[in-house]
Amino acid sequence: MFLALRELRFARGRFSLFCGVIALMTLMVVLLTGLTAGLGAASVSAVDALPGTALAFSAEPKVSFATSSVSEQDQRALAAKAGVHSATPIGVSTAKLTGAVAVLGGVPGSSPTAGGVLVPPSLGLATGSHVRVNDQDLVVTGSTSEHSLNHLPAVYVSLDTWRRVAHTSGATAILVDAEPGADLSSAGLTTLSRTEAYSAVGSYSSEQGSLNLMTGLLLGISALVVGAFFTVWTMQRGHDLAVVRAIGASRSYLLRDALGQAALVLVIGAGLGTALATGLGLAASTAVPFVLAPSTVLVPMALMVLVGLVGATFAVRRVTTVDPLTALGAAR
Amino acid sequence: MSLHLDEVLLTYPDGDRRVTALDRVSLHVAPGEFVAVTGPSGSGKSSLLAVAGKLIAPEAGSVRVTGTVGFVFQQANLLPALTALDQLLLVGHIGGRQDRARAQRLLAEVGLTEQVNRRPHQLSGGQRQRVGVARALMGEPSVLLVDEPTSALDHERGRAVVELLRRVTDTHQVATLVVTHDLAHLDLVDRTVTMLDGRLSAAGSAALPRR
Repeated sequence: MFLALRELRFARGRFSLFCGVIALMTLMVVLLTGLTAGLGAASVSAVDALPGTALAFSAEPKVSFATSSVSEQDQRALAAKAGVHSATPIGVSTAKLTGAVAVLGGVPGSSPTAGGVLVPPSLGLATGSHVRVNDQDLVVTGSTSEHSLNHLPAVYVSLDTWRRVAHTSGATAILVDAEPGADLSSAGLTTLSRTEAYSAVGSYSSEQGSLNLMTGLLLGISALVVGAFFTVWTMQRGHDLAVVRAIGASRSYLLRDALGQAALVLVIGAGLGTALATGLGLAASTAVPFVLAPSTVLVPMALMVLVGLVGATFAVRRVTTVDPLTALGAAR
Repeated sequence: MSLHLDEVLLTYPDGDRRVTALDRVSLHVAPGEFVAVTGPSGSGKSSLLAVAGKLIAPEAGSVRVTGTVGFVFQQANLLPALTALDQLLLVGHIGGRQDRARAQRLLAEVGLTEQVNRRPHQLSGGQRQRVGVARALMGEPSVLLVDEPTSALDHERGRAVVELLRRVTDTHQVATLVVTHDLAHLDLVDRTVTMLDGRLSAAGSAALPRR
């Protein structure tokens, strides 16, 4: 890093500009990752909070909470299977309360008495309040954690109450608590793990797919930008590198120095971008679904450095082909 | 003997044919000896330097160097990002030893005590070439290979650089081989050999008297 550090100091204007570019790209990647995670949580956090190991839906070409309907017979069939501890029917639908909400009925541990409803604090409803859910008058009997389904706040009622709210006699899905490896196949049902069940939430897959594609494209573009910068930089100092080779430096010495320089620039740029994104994310999280966590901050930063290094490696590998002979006057 | 070239043959591809750059060249340079190679452009002077410095392997013949080689390039070829002192410390870093005191001593020896922290663009042409000489000495070479050291300098500064090369050849007892077009300072060298079409005209013999 002897040469690398001195070049960074000497060409600080050029490298500052490039660090700025990397910082801005990292800012975009981190913001997008935090937003993706935030929107994901807004879509499926209520699914994540469900107890049990699996969810059984009615078998359809595209499994969905909106269209799934299971019967008591389905529930009994699953409950009778070997390794199954419990099989609980639950109801999931949307309804109007103060605004649109996701109503979950019969979820073990979050099921109030008949006529009661558990609401998240964000709805601003005090215990004992009388509310109308669709055409049913209910009483707020307590509060629950902030969960949401398909971007709607989740409220919890008993299965009987849910059936009245949803005007149905059945249930949406069956919550299964089973031993690992238990055979959960049952005629007319599609059984999914909890994470697989994310796909049963309307917009989740397309939303996450689009955002992840954008993040992936940004990372790809970043690798190209970094590669382009270091290609130009390496070409610009080709003669200097030939001199360094001629005064005794090995190919690996030049490669180590060039890669060290690239890594340092990437870490500084990505670090600045991440710090900026963290600040902006904190400010934005009060207004938009945004998750600030190591997985949405440090992982994208590390990915930026990694893809940048891949781009830089392709660019600076040409330092190994520098011919020291070109340092001699006649060979230029 | 510090530098020993025997029957060295080197050819380059040139379209469909091959051009002979060095045609069975033999040259010996002893420690403390200062030898100049002159000749027209394309005569093979730089090829001789490249082979002597083992930047190119000859097709036939042998090149033996006792110890290491130091290069002094045309127009010094200093790295723009490094100060005069760093130019020398880089050589130490490449060799795995950072001898700051030696670097400072060498810069003082070439008369640049006050310029150690200056970058190449802050130095005159003569000063840059002096840094180049000090850099070449940093690796404690037994052979100094010098490529057109006066090509970018006026007569006075060019002579000062050749005088410096003469002095370090004597002081450090290095075998110095200088390639030059400049015939004005040949009185300072021990021997001059002339290259023409890849052949040495006066290899191993004193072509011009020293001083």
